[in-house]
Amino acid sequence: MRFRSFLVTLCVSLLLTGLLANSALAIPAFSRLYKTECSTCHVIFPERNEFGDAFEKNSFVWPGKLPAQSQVKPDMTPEQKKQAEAMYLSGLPEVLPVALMGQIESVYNSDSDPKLDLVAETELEMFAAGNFRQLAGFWGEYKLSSSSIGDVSVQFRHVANTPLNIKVGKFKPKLSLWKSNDRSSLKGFGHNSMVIGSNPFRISRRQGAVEINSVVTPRLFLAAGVADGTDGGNDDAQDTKEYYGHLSFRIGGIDFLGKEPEVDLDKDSIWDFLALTFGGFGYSGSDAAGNNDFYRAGLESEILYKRFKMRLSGTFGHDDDTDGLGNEAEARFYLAQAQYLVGSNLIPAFRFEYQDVDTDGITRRYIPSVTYAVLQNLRLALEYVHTEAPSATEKEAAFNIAFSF
Amino acid sequence: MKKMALLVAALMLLAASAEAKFVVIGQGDATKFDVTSYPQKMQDAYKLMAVKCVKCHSLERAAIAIQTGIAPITGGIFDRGATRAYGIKMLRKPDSDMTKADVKVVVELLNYMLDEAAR
Repeated sequence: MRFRSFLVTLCVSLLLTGLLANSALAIPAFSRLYKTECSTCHVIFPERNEFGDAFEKNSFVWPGKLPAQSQVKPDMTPEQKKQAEAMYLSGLPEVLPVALMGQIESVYNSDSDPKLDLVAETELEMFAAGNFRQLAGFWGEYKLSSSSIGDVSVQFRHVANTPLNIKVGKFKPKLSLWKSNDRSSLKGFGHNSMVIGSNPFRISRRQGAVEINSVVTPRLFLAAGVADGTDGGNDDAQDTKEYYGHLSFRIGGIDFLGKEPEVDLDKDSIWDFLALTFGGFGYSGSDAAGNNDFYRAGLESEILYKRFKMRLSGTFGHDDDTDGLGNEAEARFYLAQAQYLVGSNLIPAFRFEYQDVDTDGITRRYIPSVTYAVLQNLRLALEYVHTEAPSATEKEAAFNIAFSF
Repeated sequence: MKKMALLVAALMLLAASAEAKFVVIGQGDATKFDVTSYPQKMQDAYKLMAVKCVKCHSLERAAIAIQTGIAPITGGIFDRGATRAYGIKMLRKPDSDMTKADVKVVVELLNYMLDEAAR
């Protein structure tokens, strides 16, 4: 009964907030730099749209041929011109490319004590991103709430005038089509956190790595890299390096260079609004001692038609010796998520996950969610996760407020 | 005398045609265009533009792009080729509420404004 009251209260709050809110512009780091809205790159942050995907692939340089030059303007005073020139020569972005993101989460779980935790989690994260005179893109994260460093990387663009980019740093290797936070729902995609036996490897695990990636043709993206490995779950590098590769291509929609598709304004076609993106990846690794050789492989697809988006994913894994006793293990993971954008700021979504790991058994998750952007930089999300695992069935609801500025 | 009158009339006509027709009024969210000297078709197109475009952004963006030939957000060239690309971008944008017919009308107006601003 209390659970039902909690859900009703949250739904009413969400609805009222939605009815009372007006649209407005948001101002995170890229918005400040390019003086554009969050919705240029995001559906509802942090989920990216096609253009946001192209922007990231282009090392955080605005897609298209833009001049790399100082922002000296004729109406500037001599002092301002000198400053603008000095900033350019130093390679410094004119706007400090820093943003903050905060999150507050309430959780209700009938099996927990307490059942309702009004503020189960708070998080404050600082991130910096941009490019240095279009020669290199950079990304950095720091979680203020836990004093921990997240992804830190530099990507050298178009090395030696080739289409190749070289990315160096500590980051999540490019495997899945979607970044781990590239979703409107709260719960991360299950394939990102799936582990087999005692092998701590997860495909979204942050690692020291060197990656070569390239938009080979406007609709084909390739990435390959070598990673330090996870050395028993620690952040330390191991001698046995690990290797990965990713391939994705898109039919219809905006291409990977951010160019709109050709549209005949006199004739309707399904391709005016349909975009199909397909991806595949492979990761080959081994534990520090070289006893457990393992791989993960995945096939993914995304269907986007106007406001409707569907994601389908299959991830497969195999470990030679997952427990140190010579026992092999395999895993299969399937995901399907459908969502629909209502207006420009409301996304109801439903996800189903099926996970079959030899060492753990079969787990099914049913995850309905509703996400609402009060403003483009202020998001509310309500999600219910129903998990049927071999050990127990768990029901948990979460309400999350996220803001970025 | 007749020749003189013709010459004066020709000069007046030239002066009238050389008059800048691209006039921006106000700034920021209050930006508008003075289209009173535009052909009726373009005045009708402006009525559509004034409703559709401001749903997401002020007309100042269009004003800057047309006046400078540079799109204010991207810094890219804003010419006849770009107006069509922007039209398609807006057509495909969720919640833009623009149809292909709307896009054709607005693109034609933007091209007309580009020509006027270039005179």
